Amino acid sequence: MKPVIKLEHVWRIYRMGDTRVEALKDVNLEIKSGEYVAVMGPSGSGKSTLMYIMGCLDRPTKGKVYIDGTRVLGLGDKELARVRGRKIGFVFQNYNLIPSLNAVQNVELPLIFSRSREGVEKRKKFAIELLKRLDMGSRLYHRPNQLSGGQQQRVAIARALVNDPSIILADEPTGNLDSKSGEEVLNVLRELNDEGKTIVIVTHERYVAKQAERVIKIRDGRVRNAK
Amino acid sequence: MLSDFFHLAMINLEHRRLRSWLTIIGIVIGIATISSLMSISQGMYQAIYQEFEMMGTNTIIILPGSGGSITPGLSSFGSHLRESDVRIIESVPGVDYALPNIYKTASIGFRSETTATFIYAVPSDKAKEFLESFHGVSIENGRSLRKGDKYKTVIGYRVWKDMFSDKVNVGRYITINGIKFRVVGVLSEIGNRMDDNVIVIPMSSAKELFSTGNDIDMIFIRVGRGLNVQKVADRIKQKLKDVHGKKDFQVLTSADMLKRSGLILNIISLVILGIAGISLFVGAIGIMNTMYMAVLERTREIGIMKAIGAQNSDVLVLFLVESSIIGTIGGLIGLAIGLGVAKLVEIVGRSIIHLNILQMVVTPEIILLSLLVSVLIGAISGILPARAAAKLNPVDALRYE
Repeated sequence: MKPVIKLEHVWRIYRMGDTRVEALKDVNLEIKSGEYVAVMGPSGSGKSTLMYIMGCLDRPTKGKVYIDGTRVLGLGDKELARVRGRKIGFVFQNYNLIPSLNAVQNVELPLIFSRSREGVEKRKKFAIELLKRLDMGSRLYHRPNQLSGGQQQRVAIARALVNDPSIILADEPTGNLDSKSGEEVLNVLRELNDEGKTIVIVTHERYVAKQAERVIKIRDGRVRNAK
Repeated sequence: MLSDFFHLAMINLEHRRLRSWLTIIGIVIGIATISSLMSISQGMYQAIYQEFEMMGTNTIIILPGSGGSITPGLSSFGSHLRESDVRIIESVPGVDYALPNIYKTASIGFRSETTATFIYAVPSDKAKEFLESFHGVSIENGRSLRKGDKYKTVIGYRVWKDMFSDKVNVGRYITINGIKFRVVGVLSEIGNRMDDNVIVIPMSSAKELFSTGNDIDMIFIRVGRGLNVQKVADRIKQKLKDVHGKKDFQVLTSADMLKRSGLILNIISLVILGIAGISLFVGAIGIMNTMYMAVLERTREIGIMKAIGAQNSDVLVLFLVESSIIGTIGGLIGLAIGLGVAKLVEIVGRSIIHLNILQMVVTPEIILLSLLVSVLIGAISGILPARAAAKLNPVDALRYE
């Protein structure tokens, strides 16, 4: 299997005033298409930084990152935005929905930015279908603050899926949810993996990581068991 | 694409409605000022232009004084035109005829009431022609002055109607500086208070009444049709200068007069436009402030949008569209209020101070200019905040609390 995500000798170093923080130290890892991988580590271990780099939201200080075989370092802002929009779907711990938009509008947003599925009606229909599949059919026009955490996370998942990305990056997706809602979200991710999507889930909870086929452990910016 | 951004921007503006409206008000004030001013000054210009049109483009006026002041008459102290000048002017080729005028203020009595108004003295045999062709007034009642009239008068519409408690009908007597004049006619309404309060008397009677001798205040000249007015004016200038030995008079063609009136209007407009400009500037700062606050408040949202595929240019456009909408709405409301105010000024001007020159006009230029300015102000004041938003690092933005 071809790796969809590949990191080679990746360093991420922040400078905060005079202090140098090495968030990632010489990270090497490969994630193959269709894999379900959990990235585990205590807080401050660099796992969020790792996810931002895999998600092309951040660039490494040193090293190479390949998404779907394309080296992303050479890409400009525009191409990076395309990669984020089309190849990767993000699911965050705190859902990160746009508060002024309702569920359907939130799900439609990536389609607007990727300029795909032209036609307002078609786009809306697609967003609604997706939300219905995630059991959100009765809450289509609710704003995030009118939804429970679990419901918001479903909207966020629908949003992550709308451009049909091959990779889902989930950063502590159950972290803010009660165990029942958390369970449901994990089931959705499981199903998506069964449909062939590559799932990378960042967590510090053992039971979440258990779902994955493979666990990558990260501590102090160093990764073990990565290949 | 852009329509999606427009929709998103509208949702955002709706979301913080109060602040959006407060920001819009800043633009409304500036655009309302500008559009009302443009409307009224355009209207005044048109009114003046019409007046000159009525007077005819083949008119020349001679005033005493050497000129140099933009207000005719103020520089006339000490110099005079003489009746003999009229004959000199009439001998200039191209001049159809020339009419002398005397302008005075005098006290007017009717029965037991006394007031003061303007007296306008013209040669009685040319009175009808003068009133009709230079001033566009006709006789409403009675007759005009005619040859041989002495101590007769034609009165303005408002003199007849409401200068005194009773109407001054044809056949009645009024006194001018204590001397009795018989009213033979009433002029039709011109529409502005000054002109409608005038009293026209024969030149010969004015000379006796005011002991002006041969001095006159103004000469109206009609140039023959189809001739170059400026050339005739130059000839008159030369001729009078030769006779007077110096240039102690001014020669004004109707084009000159229009230019002068236009100049005064332009100066006034410029001053007020400057003030309006300041208020627009303040409005622009308001938009900028609101947009910077929006960027700060929505830092996280910007991070989210970038995470789900928004390019820097998308974020830039989104914020620019928002600020432009603020500008445009402000412009539309401002334009409506501005034109409303202009209409109000016109109504008040006409009904209370009877100034017909105050009129509003709506031209496509006024509408386009107002809207263009407001959209531009919105866009320009949005540029810096929008760039700040576009340049945000997505990770920092996502972590922003």
